[in-house]
Amino acid sequence: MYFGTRTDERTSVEILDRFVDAGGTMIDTSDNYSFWSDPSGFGGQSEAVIGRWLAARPGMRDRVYLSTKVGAQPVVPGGYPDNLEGLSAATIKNAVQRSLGQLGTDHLDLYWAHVEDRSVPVEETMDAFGSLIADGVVGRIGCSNWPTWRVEQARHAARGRPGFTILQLMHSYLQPRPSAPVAFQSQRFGWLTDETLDYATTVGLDIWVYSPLLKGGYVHRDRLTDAYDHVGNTRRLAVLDLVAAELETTRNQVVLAWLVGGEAPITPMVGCSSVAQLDEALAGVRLTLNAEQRARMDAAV
Amino acid sequence: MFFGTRQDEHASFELLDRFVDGGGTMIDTANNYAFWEDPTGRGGAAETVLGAWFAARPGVRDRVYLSTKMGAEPRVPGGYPVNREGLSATVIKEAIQGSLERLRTDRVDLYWAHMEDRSVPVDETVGAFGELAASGVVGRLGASNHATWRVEQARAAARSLGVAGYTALQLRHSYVVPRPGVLVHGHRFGSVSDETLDYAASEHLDIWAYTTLIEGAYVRADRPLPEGYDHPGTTRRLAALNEVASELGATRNQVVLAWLIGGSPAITPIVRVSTAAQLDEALAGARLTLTDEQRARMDAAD
Repeated sequence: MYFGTRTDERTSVEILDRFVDAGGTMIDTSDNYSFWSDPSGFGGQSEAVIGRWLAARPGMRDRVYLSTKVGAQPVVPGGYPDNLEGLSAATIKNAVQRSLGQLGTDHLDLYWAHVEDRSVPVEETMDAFGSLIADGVVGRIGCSNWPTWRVEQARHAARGRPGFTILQLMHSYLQPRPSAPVAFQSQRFGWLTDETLDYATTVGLDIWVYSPLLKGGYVHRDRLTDAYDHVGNTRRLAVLDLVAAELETTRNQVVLAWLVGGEAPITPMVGCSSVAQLDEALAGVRLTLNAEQRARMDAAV
Repeated sequence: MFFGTRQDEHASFELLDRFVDGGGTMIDTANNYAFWEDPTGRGGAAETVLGAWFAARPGVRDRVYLSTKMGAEPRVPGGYPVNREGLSATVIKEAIQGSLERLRTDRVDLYWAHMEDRSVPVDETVGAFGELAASGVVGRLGASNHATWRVEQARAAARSLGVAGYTALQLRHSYVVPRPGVLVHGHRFGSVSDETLDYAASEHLDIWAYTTLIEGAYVRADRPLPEGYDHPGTTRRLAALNEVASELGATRNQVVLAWLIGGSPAITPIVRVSTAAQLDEALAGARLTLTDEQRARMDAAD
């Protein structure tokens, strides 16, 4: 989310207004958006824009489901990914106050552990998050870019207190080759896997997925790196084009419909930098595939 | 393992003798090998042959590290996979007795849960396995074809119950891997993933890999890789494999075994052989060492 960095404040506000006018309700940001696009080397611009937008629209805060994240803000400019704020109790306590201040609100509907922090005992992290829920500062907690076994460990450690009930990972219809590096994915365990789907459906976790449109890769093939080159994706693109033609819609919209309507409860998160992209995405999540179309899309591997 | 089914007792003994004479020490079987090859539709033949071999070779049992598995034996002929014995406490207690009798031994060094059984509470399974470990009938416990989060759940349950938990994982793995979404065998969570490697390294679990040589596909023109392996990463990996094999004067199979064994985390490859030549090739492969540069080249191909 590039509000306040690549996307200027005027455009950001336009997108936000149109989003809620069109019935959009969920806004996800992070305390570190977008450190990589800001001269300061730190994030926070996105939360600040959203905070000013909320302040200028009385009553709006109650109409949106607001989430932000902690853990992956660089401690020093250039510190990502080795020198991050992490998930200690002290960091979580300070970071949530800073985020609340930036967003101009007294509570978050959902608070995310943005990355893992294995230098901190998982009990400490879960205690800190649990206190925020107990105090009513955050509604629920989730984790992003964690492997399933660590999530299970954290949920075990939280026993008696609320634990993570939602996962955020990268997922889309096309998949890269095994172990081939993908430029826009720096997190080793940032991928949704078949194991994630099994874990989430078995124990009852929600799944949000990021970069579902592969940074524009369905429209601009040059944005898909070599890792996406394999016959499984060739087959998937062919089916995707067929289904898009049948529904007289775009590839992006079919991908969003495929994610939303599957067996597992997946919520795709779309980063928009223009109103046109937003309109396309909103129409996509409202699209429904029939069972035959879904089966054909699933069968292509 | 086709001892007692595809391979008669004589051929099986020859391979086993050659294995231990060649310095081999670890033998892995299962109580359901090989039901799909046996006219009865039941497993047990492989363990029976191993038991006969131990009986005919006094002292050999103490020289080998013996592991077997339970949980995937069909309850009735044709019952696999839906109607399999599973991992209830009662079945675990019965299954170990059956295996010990067939193997003609009083203990197994490592006992595997062959497949998950989500119809049984994890505490029940873990408690029953823990009792076997406490009584000394099994040396340690492992989980095969389990999703990592399920292994972690079982290990947490074992900690809570104060019993021994799984310390080894057995999954399918090799140097080349299939495309995303392609299932090349019957176990949805039966393959080593990057998460498996992380979990094992972080929690100090051992990984044993099966079907490491992909049914002969690395060396036999008549056994091509299944279609699911077709992608540019496989092409690049096979090219790297050819290079390293020719540098070392070794076979592709041997380089794959060396790559598995010497990696981080180290992986114990399980190799099924049906001829003396295959056995000799595998034993030599397990002793082969790659240079850091060769390993880096092999790892980088994707």
